[in-house]
Amino acid sequence: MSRKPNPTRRRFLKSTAAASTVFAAPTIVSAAALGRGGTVAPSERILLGGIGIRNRGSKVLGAMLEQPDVRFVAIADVRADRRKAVKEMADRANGDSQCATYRDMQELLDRSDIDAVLIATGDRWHAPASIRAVQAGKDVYCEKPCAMTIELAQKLADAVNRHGRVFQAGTQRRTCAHFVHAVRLAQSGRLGKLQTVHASIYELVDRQDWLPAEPQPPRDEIDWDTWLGPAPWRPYNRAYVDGRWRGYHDFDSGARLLDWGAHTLDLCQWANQADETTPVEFEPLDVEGDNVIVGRYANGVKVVLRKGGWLGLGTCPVRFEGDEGWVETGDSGRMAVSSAALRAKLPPPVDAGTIPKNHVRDFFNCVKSRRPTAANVNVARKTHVACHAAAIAWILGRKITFDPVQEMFVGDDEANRMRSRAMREPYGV
Amino acid sequence: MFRRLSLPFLAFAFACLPTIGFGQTTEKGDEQARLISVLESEATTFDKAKACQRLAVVGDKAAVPTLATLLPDEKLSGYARTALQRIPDPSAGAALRLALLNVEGDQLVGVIHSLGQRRDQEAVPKLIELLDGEDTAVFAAAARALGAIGNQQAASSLRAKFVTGDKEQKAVLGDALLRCGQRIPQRAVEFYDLVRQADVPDHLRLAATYDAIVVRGENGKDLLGESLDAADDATFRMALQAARALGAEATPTLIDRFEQQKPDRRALMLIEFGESGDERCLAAVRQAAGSDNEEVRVQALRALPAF
Repeated sequence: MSRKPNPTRRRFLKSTAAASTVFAAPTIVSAAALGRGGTVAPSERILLGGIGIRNRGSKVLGAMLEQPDVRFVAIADVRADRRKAVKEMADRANGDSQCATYRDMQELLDRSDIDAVLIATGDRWHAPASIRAVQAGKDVYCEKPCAMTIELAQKLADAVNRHGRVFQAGTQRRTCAHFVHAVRLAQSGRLGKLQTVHASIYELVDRQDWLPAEPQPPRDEIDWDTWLGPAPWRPYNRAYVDGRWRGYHDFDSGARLLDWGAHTLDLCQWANQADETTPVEFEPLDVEGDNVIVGRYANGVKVVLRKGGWLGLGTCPVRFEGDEGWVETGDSGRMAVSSAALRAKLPPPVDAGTIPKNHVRDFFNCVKSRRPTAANVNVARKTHVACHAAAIAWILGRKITFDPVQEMFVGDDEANRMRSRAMREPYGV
Repeated sequence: MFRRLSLPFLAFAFACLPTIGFGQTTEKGDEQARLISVLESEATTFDKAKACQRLAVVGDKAAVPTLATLLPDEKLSGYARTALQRIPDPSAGAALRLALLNVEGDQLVGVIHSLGQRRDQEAVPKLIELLDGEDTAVFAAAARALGAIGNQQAASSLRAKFVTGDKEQKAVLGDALLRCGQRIPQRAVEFYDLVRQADVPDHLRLAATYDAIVVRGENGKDLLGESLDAADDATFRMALQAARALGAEATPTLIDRFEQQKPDRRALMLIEFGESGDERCLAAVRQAAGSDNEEVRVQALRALPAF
């Protein structure tokens, strides 16, 4: 079989390098598509739908609504109040009242006029909704973490590649200038030979309890069964729906490690030019007041996931250390480096790491050009697999060895069984 | 030792002490016995749910019969499947196959899904039978499971059903056949061509055509060229993506089709040329750099530094 679903390494490096400059890339809007006054003709617009949009989703949607060649036409949400709020947001941007609302995401996905979807549900729905979307022929921008398990990360990548769809993981730091600069310092050898990459993570938690049962609201107000979706059954409690699902084993990804790890370990993978692989071992360390997991790549580079000990450069910090220098940066846009020579060439702080405007533009450009996005599904797969492997090591409380090709733990049946979870009926994909 | 467990779970775990979390075989056996006894008791749904989740990690064939009794349970079926999906012993697959006969509705859909996840070859004949049922959810689940299993028998049955199925069925079966193409490379072209030439939704036709071009490799250039020439932009863009997946093998076809394309398509092709850095594209890029069309000229000038 001559199929080559993944780019060759050379093309891959070129494409990620190209993607890294996307923050400077213009909107791809055909001149022929521009009508009078520079507006985009309706036939040339990307029609966008949204699934499960709340806090973070609204920020991403806000950036999407600013794009001249995008029109948001439909929202699907299990909550009536969210359907109403997002419709109002879209209608204001569109200057009409035509944004459609759906409780059932499948009705939205079945619309043949919609080109792409923004998926910003909780973690439990990210991969299943994305897979449904690509099966319905949509391109997908999916908030992170994109997959609750190693197996789902694999299935998601397989589905996107099989259907030839464009996929962007919501790891927008790949298109933020200061993170890109830090990565380039590591990749270019200006730090010397890369020794250690550091990724920040939240305090890890793997809650197994259930909140007390509360009376279930009418389905049209909050569709609890669909909110749960593929997650295991449990009784309704409003707190989950209002965002307090984080930290629960059944709803969160890898004991919360992926909440930041999907960003920060992703940047470490990139800095180590390891987008096509993962570390080969992880070991949780007992460090008072912190969660520290130390890993190692096959090329000898060490990776340290930790909560504390950062320089105060904002949330989601990363640090790359070579044998001749180091760089650290975070969401503030500020950077710290080890020498005056490196300091002299730092870019000025531009955007915070949380701003997705470059990332959404990259997505829409790729929807048109069919090029891989900066955080395409093959990149996201390896990052998510690496994060889950680290989280499983922490949950088990022991050192694990990992095979990056097979994406399996070596000689550890318990760990291997934790690579997947059953999906509640009838929500399997 | 498992970490950071919350108080309610600790209470549950305490009931299982002194064995939880320790890796010795005997201790695991003791722990399993205690977990099974929770499932067979009048324990709460929560305790049973947690017992299933723990059995998913430490359970073996001894837990299978008890787990199987939970498969019809609306609340616990998914938990039981979490364990039955992951227990490697063949008895777990046998229990799921048996459940095909005695569970229904959503729980049946779940059992079918779990058999697909296990890639249970022995389930294939029964799953094929389910393709003939009236329940569309069961039909779709069976088709997906057969696609996930993807052996010759599953693929041939999906193929036969695809040929005779209506448009809605073809949409589900077509996707399953694309999965079979990934599992059985020697029949991939057969499946992809069948789907792309059938009366299926446009997005499925595009996916099948994309796969058909890529899987053919160098032999896919005629289909690639045909797709680049398509009147509709969606097919053209799919072809461009397929060309990228093919890599250097596709370059001559792209160059050959370049001049005859509309300016907006040429602009997109120039992005590809620049991305590839393939010297064979240089003449076309240079010429495009002098184009009267601004969009073409800009993309050509952007591409030139790559050469």
